[in-house]
Amino acid sequence: MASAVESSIEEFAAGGEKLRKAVAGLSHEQLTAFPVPGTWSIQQIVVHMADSDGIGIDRMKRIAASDNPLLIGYNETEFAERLCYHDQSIEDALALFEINRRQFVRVLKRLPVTAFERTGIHNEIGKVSLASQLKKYNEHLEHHMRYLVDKRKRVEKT
Amino acid sequence: MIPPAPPLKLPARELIAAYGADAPKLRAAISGLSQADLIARPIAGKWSTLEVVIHLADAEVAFADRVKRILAMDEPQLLAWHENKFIERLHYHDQSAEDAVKLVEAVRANTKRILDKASDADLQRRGIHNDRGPQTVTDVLSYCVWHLNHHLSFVAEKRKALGK
Repeated sequence: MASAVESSIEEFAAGGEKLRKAVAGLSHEQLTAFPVPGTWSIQQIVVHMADSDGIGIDRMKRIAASDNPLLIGYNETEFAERLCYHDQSIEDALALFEINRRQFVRVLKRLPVTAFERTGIHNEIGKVSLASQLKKYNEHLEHHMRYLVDKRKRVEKT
Repeated sequence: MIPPAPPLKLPARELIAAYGADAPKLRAAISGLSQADLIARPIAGKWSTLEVVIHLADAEVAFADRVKRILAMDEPQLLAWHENKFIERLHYHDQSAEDAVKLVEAVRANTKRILDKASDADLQRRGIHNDRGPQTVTDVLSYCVWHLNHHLSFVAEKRKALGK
């Protein structure tokens, strides 16, 4: 039976394909529509996932490699507003998300179990462990997938 | 020949052009090398070619994150990282050179799109790096463009030492 850490790594590894499948076949118009007024478009969610995962994997690397490293938060709303999310390429965002996860899974699978108890100090939320960060980024994808699936249904109806 | 140390004396738009144009250089630099070649240490005491390649992927992700934070946030904090600890503890020889190359290409393609939309004033926005102090977008790009070419010169040295 797989351990909790092994299950988390497998879930993390499967995320890339899950995100790609969720947006497959959508047009640029559908990706950049706002089917729920006042909330992000599907494209903004996908680019956010790529940015967020890049930062999350960097944090996990710092925790695995350094002793109680400082980790810093970022402002996701300002990223979405100021980094031209609708002008970015959905394909590049999906590729970044997939490759970054695939490469880091190779590292995660080779770390000793004790490495997942290593910690870093996040400037906004305090002490976090490698295991808790891995769980957080799995939950983060699931959180956004729920919105994405709902928005896909709405844009496909119109 | 090792490129001169940063900052490169290039105008901001030329730096952005070089940032985009240099992206395929990593793939070309390791083209045709076997896994044995990649993990060899033809120059004693120095990193293997694969360690250089994975280091470049980690660095490019970090540089792009700095650019995005500076463009999106007001005087954000920017963090250095321990490159030697990353190499010692993150199983660089078990990572994929192909994925590292793809990551560098995708990161630069993605970030260049953002940079091409940035105004001249945006490029002078700054963050505060914990080792280097205030850094504008142009400063980060200057270092990034230099950094890739700097390490590619070492890859070329290793290829020569391997007779490849």
